[in-house]
Amino acid sequence: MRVTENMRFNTTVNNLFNTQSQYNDVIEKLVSQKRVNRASDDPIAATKIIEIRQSMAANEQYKTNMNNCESWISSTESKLSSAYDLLVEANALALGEATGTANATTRKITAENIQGLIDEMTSLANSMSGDRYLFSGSRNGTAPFSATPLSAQIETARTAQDNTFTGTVTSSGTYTGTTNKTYAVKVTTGGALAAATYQYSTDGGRTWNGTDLSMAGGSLNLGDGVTLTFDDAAGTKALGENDIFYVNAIAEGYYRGDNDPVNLTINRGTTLTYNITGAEAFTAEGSYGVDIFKTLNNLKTALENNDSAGITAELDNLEKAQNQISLNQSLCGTKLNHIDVSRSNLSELDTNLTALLGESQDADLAELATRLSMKEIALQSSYAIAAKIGNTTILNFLD
Amino acid sequence: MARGRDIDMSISSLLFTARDALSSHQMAIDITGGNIANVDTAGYSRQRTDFKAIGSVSVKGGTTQIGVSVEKITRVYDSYIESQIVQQEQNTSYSDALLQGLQNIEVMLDDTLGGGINDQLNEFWSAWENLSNAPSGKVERTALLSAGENLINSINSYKRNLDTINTDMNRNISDAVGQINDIVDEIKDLNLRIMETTGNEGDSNALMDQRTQALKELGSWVDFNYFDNPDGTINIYLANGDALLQGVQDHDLSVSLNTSGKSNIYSDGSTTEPINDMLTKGKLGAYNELQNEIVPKYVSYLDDFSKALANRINEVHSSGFDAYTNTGVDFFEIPDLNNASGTIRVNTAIAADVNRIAAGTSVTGDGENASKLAAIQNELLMNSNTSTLNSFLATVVGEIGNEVATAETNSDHQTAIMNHLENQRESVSGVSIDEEMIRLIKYQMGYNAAGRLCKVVNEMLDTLMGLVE
Repeated sequence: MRVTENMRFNTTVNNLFNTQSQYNDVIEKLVSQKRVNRASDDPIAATKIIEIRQSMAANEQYKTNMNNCESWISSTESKLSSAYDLLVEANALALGEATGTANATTRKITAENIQGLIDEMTSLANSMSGDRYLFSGSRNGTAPFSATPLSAQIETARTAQDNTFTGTVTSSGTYTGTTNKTYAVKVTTGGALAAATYQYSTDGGRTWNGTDLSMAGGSLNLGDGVTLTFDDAAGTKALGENDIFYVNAIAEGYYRGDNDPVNLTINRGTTLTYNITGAEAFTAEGSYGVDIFKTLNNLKTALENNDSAGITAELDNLEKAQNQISLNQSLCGTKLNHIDVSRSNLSELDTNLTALLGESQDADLAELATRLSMKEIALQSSYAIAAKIGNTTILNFLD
Repeated sequence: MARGRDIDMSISSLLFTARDALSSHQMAIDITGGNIANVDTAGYSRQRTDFKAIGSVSVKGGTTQIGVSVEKITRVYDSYIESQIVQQEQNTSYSDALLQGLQNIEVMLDDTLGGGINDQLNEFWSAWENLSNAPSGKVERTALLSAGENLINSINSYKRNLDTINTDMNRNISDAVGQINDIVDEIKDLNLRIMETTGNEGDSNALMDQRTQALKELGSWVDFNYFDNPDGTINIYLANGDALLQGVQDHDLSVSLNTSGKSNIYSDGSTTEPINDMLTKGKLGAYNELQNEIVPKYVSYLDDFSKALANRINEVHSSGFDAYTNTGVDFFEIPDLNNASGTIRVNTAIAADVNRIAAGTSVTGDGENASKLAAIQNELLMNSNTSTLNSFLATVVGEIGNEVATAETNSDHQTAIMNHLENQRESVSGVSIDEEMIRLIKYQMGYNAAGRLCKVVNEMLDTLMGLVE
């Protein structure tokens, strides 16, 4: 083959560029300590890296959620434990006053003590974690317990801010339900009352009755004695589609919260109900069916009245109350265990993900260092050769 | 130079022989000098001096040649390799320009090192989780709004960048068409001059070199075929058969923007039938492919993502209740469905008032709906319900990475072929200094010998004159 100066020059320069680009490639990987610096370095690994990072970010969030749940549950548990202690104390006091040696004076004094316990219990049951009440269910902006018993009531009807309807809506009726509920009405077809339709919900809007009902007449019976009455000023004030009206109905007793679970996601597809509602722990809705505040108040009344039969009667309830609280305490323990298990699973997963990420992304430094010195040698020889092209030509031999 | 002589031997005719030898060798040295001078001229083909013996003398029944002349100056080249180079230039330039365009898109979409849209999407999901933990929290609501806005800003800016690439391509295509027309114009002029020179039996070697070089340059822009005409000119045709140049008649390409903001390329005379589909090689082919296939593909990925995200989030969001116990409004808005990724935004009502975020499934102020919204990250919404929003984005990054990697390999491959062909061409047509030096020595010896001949003839004449004295 005929070889010209240009061929020699081009070959040398091309090889030099190739070697330099390989050298740079190794340097980039060494400096970034990453095998994949851009998607085209290894498209499959790049996809994997992004997916792993997404899983890790999700895990991070699950951990945060678990921490939040844990602190909530721990607070709940400690409050319940204090409540249990109060009940033990009340029980001891009641036992002492149930015997024949007790008299009206001692019972009067004990009644004062019981009142102190009731106050303490109320304050425990109204504890907050952050700005949310521990025991009020999903109504966590409302203090769940009142110190005095409330009769069944239907609160004033409320309207959503964006409602089109400017007429009046009033609530009425006597609440016959046994638990606290929020009744909601959603307008499904707007217009004057005569034309409008609605659906209603007895759980604050989570689920709806499913069929459109006519609003004609303006008086809507939502069940359990709850009635909402609309006045559209003789058809001049129209209802808008999606207008929301709701009303809280409170059953007789001390509790004002609801019995709804509050959940957080603690793993992919797993949610944890982290609250214990006041209803479960302190009211007759609980598993032992004891209304703790009622029991304590009955005890206090019996003591004040020097009613030894009444005192004895509440002893049984006090024991059930202790069981009810301790059951909920153990429920907290179960939940904390659940979190521990999930957390250890998650950190195992995290370790695996970190290893996988490293495998996909991290550079093998030892290998790179070896390759770097190889490329350096290659580069040096390329330079040595480049400096020599043109040295050997016939011109050297002509004078 | 050519000169017919048929004479008897005489001393004076020897002087003519010496004169011819001197001038022929001088010309050969001139040509060698030209080769040496052009050792670095791109596209230069070395030239060779062909000598021819002339003038015959009859000696006892035989004839012998007693003179020399330069018959012609040959341009040493291999037309097959030359045409291969022109064809290969079309492939090499195409793959280089395609690689560059793809790399621009890769830089934009790549998220391998983090900090991009994937992280923002993760933060968006986290913000929902945090809100579900504190549904009434102003801080959590505001954090969610900014997570949503960051995500949308990323999508919008990706789309803007893709639009910019589209605009760049319009400029590139318009430049390319201008270049092509200029080069065709140049080849037309060369055709004309070659035709005239060939007609006059003149020297067209330099012009041919220039034309070959111009064809190679044309090959870097567009794919075409060329054919030699008997008069020394060439015709150039595009891949679809439309003529760019027929002898000395050129046909300009023209370009105009169509209604969707892309370049339509037309060949001479037509303004109705764009020929974009026919252009698959050269830089123009690459620009064309980037603008009409690659950029629209990634735009459609972004659009699909934006629509799926907005649809599902809105669906769940509007099933919940905001802090004012209103039914949830749409969380995302897409004012222009034909440009979903460019126009998607957080509902202005929510941006103005974070209490409009519907965190609850009921009017009691729970955070259940936020939980449901965060769980959308695990829903298979993309690729006919086979992948999540996150993994869809990851596959898009994988896809551009793959395209770039393939284009890199292809570009390396095409460059290697080109280097090989250039070496072959160089081997045939390139100037070798060593060779030229040896030729120089040879021609110098010939020249010196002819000079010595002159001297001998002169002495012979002196001797002859001495006889007469």
